[in-house]
Amino acid sequence: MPTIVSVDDSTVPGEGSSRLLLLVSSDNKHIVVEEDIMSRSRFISKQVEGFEATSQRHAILLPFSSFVLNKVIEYCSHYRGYYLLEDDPDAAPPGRSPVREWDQEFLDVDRNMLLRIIKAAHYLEIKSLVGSCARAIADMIRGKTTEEMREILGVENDFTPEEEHSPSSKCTG
Amino acid sequence: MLDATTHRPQCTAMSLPNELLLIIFSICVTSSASHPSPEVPQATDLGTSPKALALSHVCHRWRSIITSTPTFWTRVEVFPAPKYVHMVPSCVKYSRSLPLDIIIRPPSGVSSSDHGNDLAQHKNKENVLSSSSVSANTVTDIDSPKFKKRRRCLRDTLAFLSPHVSRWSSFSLVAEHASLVSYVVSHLAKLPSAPILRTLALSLKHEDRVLVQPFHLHVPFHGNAPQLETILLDAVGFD
Repeated sequence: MPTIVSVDDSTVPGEGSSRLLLLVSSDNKHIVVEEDIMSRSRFISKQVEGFEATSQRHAILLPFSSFVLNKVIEYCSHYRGYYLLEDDPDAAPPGRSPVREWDQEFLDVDRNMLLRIIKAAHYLEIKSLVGSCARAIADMIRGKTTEEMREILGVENDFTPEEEHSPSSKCTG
Repeated sequence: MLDATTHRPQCTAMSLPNELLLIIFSICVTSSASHPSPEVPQATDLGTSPKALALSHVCHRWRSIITSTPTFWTRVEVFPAPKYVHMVPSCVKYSRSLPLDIIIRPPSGVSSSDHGNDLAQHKNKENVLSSSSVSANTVTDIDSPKFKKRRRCLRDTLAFLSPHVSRWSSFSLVAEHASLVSYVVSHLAKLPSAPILRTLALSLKHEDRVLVQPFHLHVPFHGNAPQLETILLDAVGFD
């Protein structure tokens, strides 16, 4: 991927030694964010480690829109400085913990946005956000009929009538 | 504003990678399972396997993920009704070689009191018995088509599961009639052994409860269940 912008090693006034990162979204918006805020992202942390190894700091290009990126930054800002068990590398798979109240409000968005956020969180390796999104999606389809699940999540029925009610047909495993 | 997505292409679950779908499915299948332990369950919700089955009916890709994940199929929660009995072979197949937790119980909403209503209607039709007569109730139960259907389903369920008794980790029965408990115990007595069975739970849930003592004639698994740690009996006794 091309490196399009160099970033100096500036710090945020009044915020101690927190350095800045330049994130570039798929719609080519440049967003400057404090490194501390994004440290919850394993992906970003690994990028920053790479910067330190080469003594050069570059913009980080991300494959999702500024709209989604800003939502993720909002999440990371809210939990800045908090330890979340789900983000521990040794923690159980995402989604095992109850959804926090703030997360419920934060994720009170439409399906499109929710799916975009979980994909971004997955890309950025933010397990806590992946877990909260996954729970929100699971809540949308839990207890629903097959047809309702398809409608809610925009999934096309690609079964033949014979296949539809037999999990043993045309499936791997 | 969240409405900023209005002019963007629709994002559907089809665009999620398998890893994410698996996380979502795991939550769907397990998080609200109302009975995380193999103890005597309360009839409130579908179990793990029916949820997995429902997800597998959405599309090919979902089915592939669901059926490739044996842990989704290890909790064989069966209501004695044909649509659930037909699920048992899928559980046996897709759980691969993993231990099975088996729960057979009345469906949600068909609790002992509902069953009592069924009985009451049947009694009114027949106009033969007083509701306080336990032995008379037994005769009425066995004669009813509903009871016969339940017993057939129970028989079919056990027929599917018995060849895999070596994988049974727990077995829990909540029956609506004493004769069903006796039937199951007599069936278990025919099985050779249950090498990894840890929990055996038998419960009779009916408003006219009687103490069933099926063990004086039948010893489950020929007494060969070396890992058995817990026996839970509710209105079922040893003589």
